[in-house]
Amino acid sequence: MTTYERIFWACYAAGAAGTTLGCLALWLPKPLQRAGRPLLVAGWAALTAAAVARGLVAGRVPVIGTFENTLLAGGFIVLTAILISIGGPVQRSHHFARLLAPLALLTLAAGWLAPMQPLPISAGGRSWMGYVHALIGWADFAVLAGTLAAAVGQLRNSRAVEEEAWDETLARLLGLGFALLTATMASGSVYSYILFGEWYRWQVVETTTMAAWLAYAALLHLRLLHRWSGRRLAVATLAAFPLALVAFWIWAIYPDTYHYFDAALRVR
Amino acid sequence: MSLWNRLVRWLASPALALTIILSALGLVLLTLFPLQFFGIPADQIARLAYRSTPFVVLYVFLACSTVACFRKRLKTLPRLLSSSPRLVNRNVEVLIPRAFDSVEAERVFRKAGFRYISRSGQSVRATIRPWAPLGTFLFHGSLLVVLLGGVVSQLPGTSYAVRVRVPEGERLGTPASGSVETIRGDRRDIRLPSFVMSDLQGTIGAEGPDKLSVEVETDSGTTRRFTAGWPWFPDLTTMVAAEDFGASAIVSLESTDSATTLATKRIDLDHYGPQRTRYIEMHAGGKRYRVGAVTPDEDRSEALPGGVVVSLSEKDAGADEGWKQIARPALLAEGAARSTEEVVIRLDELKPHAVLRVSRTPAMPLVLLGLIMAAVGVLLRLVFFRVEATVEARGADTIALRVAADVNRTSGRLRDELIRAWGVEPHDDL
Repeated sequence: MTTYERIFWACYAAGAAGTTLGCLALWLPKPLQRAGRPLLVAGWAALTAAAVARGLVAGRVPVIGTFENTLLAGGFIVLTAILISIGGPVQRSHHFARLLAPLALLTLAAGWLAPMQPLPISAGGRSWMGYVHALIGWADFAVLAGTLAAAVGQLRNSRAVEEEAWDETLARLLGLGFALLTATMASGSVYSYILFGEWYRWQVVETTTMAAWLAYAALLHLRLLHRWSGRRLAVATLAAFPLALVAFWIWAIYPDTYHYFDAALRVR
Repeated sequence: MSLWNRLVRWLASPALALTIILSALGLVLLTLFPLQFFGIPADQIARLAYRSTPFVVLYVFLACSTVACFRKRLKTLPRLLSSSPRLVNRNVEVLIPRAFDSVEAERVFRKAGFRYISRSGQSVRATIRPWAPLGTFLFHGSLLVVLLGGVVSQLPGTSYAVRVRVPEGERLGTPASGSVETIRGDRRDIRLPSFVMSDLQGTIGAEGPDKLSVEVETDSGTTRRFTAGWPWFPDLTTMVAAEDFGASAIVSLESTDSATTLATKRIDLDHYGPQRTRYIEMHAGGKRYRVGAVTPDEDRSEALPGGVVVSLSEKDAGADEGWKQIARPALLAEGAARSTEEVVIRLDELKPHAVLRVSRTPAMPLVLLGLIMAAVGVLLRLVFFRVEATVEARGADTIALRVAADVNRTSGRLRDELIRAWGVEPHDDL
C-alpha cells in the first residue's frame, strides 16, 4: 500500500467516524448535542481529505466508479447538512443534520458494495468537463436531499409560527436544487458532445434525469404560479424526490449506459 | 374577446404550462423509461421518441406555450422589474415601534446590502438585484433556442458523424475512401476538414490508453494537437476528436520457401474498438486460411504498435468442420515472417493510425447558447433572486416594515435582521 493509499484510508475512516459520532451526538441530551456540529464538520473535512488523497492515488479527480462517487456524494450531503444549519431557528434545529447525516453514511456504505480499487479512465473520459459535471451533480443531489429533509420537517412541524420558516427553507432549496440540476444536465450535455458528438442520448441516465428535471420544474411552477406552500408543497416535494434518487443512482446498478463506470472503459 | 385572443390567453396560461410539464413527465416515465429495459438500443428509442405522435404533439404545445408566455410577460417586463415581488404569505408586514425617519431607513437598508433605494413621501423602498426577474425570460427563451436547435438538427443533409482512420503522414480520407465509416448522416453530404496527420501519440494502459493525442498540420500551415477529451473545433459546427488508435498492415501468405506469394490482404486493427480481434480469410493452394490479429497490450510501456499479434488457422476449402490452428498467437514485427509447415505468414507496411471521429452539428451554436441562457436564467431567478424591502410611516411612533423576496416568498431572516437594526428584538407580537 502506498503512502497516499494509507492516507486515503485513514481519512476515509476518520470521515466516516466523525459523521457517525456527529449524527449520534445530535440525538443525545441537549448539552451533548452541541458536539454534533463540530463532529460533523470534522467528519466532512476528513472526507474531503480522503477525496484529495484518492485523487492522488488514482492520478485524476475521483469521479470514476461507484466507490468514488459515493465518497463525493456523502461528502456533499454532510456539507449541505452543515451549511443549512447556519441559519435561522428552523435551520439551526438539528432536524436537517439528523436526517442528512444518516443519508450520508448510507451513501458511503453503498460504496462498499462496489470495487474499491481505482479504475482507469479512458483518454476520451479525461476531460475537465466530465469532472465539472460530476461535482455539480453531487452538489445537486445533496441539495435535493436537503429538500427532502425540509419537506419532512414541514410535515412534522406543529408550530404555526415556524411554518413560514420551513416553507422559505424548502422554497430556497427547491430553487437551488433545480438550478444545479439544470447545470448538471447542461454540463453533461457538453461532456456528451465532447465524447460522442451528440448533445443528448436517450440512455437511461439522461431519461431519468429529464424526468426528475420535469418533476422539479412542475414543483416550481406550482410554487410560483399556483402559490403552493406549506404542507401541500412538502408532500409534492416528497413525491418528486424518488425520481431524483433514481436519476442519480441508476447508473450504479444498470450496466447498459455509458455512466456505468465499474467496468473496463472504452473510448467509444 | 376574439378567438385568437382566447387561444393566446389559453396558451399563456399557467395551468397549460403545468399540464404540459406533467404530460412530458408522464410520457417519459410511461414510455421511454420502460423501453430502456427491453434492450432496445438508445438511438432506436430516440427515433421512436422523436417520431411518435405524442411527443410531436408535446413539442408543438411546448413551443407554442413558451412563445405565448414569453410574449405575454415581455409586455409587462418594465412593470415587472419595478414592482414588488408577489407574496405567498400575505401576513408579512411587521409594525415596529419607531418613528419614521427616511435617513435612518436608508442607512439601515444600505447596511443590509440594499443598493437601489428610493424615497417617496412617508415611505422608503429598497431593492437588491431588481433585474433578477430577467432570469425567467432567459430561461424560457433558452427552451425556445434549444428547440430551434433540435429542429435544425433534423433538417436533412446538415449533420453527420463519421469515423476515419488516418495513418501518420497521410491526409484525412475522403468519404469515398474505405477508411471512412459513416456513423450518422448521408455520405454524400459529408465535407471533411482538410489536414495531414503529423504526429500520433498513444500509450497502452491496462484498461484504457493513458495518453492518446494526435497532432495535425492544417492546410494553412498551423498545427493543432487534440485528444478525445480535448477535441478540436475547426469551425463552430464541426468537431474532430481522437477516439482510438491502432495499426494497419499487409498480411502475406507465402510458400514455405518464401519464393512465391500466395495471397495478400490488408488488415486494420483498432486497439479499443468494438472488435478487438480481427480475422481475415485468405485462400491459397486450395485451402482457406484465417488470420487472426490483435494489437498487443500486455506491456503497459508498449507505445504505438510495433507489431501485431498474429495467429493462423486453416481448413480445406468447402469443408464444414472447424478451423485448425496451425500457428498460435505471437507477436510479429514489421518485415518479419513466421513459418508453419504449409505457409509462411509475413507482415509488411505496418502503419500506426489514429481513429478520429468527425462530427458536424449545425445546431451546436444554438444549443450552446440555449444552455448558457438556461444556466444564467435559473441563477438569476432562483439563486441570486430579487429582494425588496419597504418601510412606511404608520402613525407618529410606528413604522411598517415589509420584506419580500422573489420566488413568491418572504425573507424571514433578512426581515429579522432589519428589525434588529432598528433596535428592536424580533418577536411574534410585532
